[in-house]
Amino acid sequence: MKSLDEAKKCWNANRELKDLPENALREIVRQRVRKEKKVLFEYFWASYFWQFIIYVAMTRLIILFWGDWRVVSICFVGILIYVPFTTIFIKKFTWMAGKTNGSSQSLYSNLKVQWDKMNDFFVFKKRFDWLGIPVSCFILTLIIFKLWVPGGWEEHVAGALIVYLFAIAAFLTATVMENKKKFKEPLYKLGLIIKEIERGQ
Amino acid sequence: MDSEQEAQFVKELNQHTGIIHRVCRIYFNDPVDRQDVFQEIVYQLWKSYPSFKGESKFSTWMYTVALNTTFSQIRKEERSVQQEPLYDHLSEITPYQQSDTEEQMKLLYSAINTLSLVDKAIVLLYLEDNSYEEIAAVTGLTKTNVSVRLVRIKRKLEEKLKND
Repeated sequence: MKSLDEAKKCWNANRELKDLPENALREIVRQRVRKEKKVLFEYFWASYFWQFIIYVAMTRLIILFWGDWRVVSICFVGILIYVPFTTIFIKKFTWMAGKTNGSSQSLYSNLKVQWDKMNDFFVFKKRFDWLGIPVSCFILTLIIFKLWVPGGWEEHVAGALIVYLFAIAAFLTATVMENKKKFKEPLYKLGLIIKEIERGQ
Repeated sequence: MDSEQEAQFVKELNQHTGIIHRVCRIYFNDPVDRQDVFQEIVYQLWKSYPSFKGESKFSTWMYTVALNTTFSQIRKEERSVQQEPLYDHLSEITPYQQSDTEEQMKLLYSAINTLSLVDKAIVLLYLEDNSYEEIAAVTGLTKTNVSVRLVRIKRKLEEKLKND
């Protein structure tokens, strides 16, 4: 076989395959639906669990320290900051639940849509992280010192600052790793394929 | 999808099942991955079938969905995209009975394996007898560019086939 035309002849020889019976199709669909539900459920919990904890903790603190306006206002700020993030997550979740991976758009259009959606969310997430991480860590420190340290953070400013900085470092490390795995690398890979197609347009 | 539509889908799918097998075979090395992606493609086709309006050929639509699903799987799950020839698993999917054909197919797959993801899609569509217009529609490239790229791909593959 010296040319691609010869290869084409070879490629098109002996192509008979067994049929896929209807019951096999139903079994595939049943298994895939189950798998899809599992993935969505895992995504749901991974995304919402932290936010759920934040809302519960904030509400509990508001009730517990009602009258102490400094604590109550910080908690309200915390809730207000997380509301848009939760809203976006709900939208993203709804999109994920309804989307079809095997789009019938061209490869290029489909990859562009995927890249744009992922990039939009990543830009939003990065902005949120800049605000959300310091505020979340501040609230976390406040909760720890208000609930479990006698005298609160007012009497242990240095300790509170260390806990705050430690929390920031932990959150930042987790965020950087998450962003790299879930956004930067996939965006880079998608970008390479898109560029390859664009070079030829 | 109602039962009548499903029966029609199965009928059309069975006329073109080879498309899915060959897409899986070109992109995935691991037989388990291939089986999994095969099922995912069938599922995505089943899901998208009600929106298929017949504006293109069923096979063209099928290539598009199959390739989009494959690219999506490669990105999402970091599967082991084929890195080496498929000698060990060659007879598993398509029943190439003659040893000469089998040997030639080994060489061909080995050569295709050196191409990029997009070029693999282009050469697959070419080998499957799709017109330049159809290849352009599936990939999103212009017809002129498909032709330019195919010249380059052909040269690269032929060089590889001669050397092997």
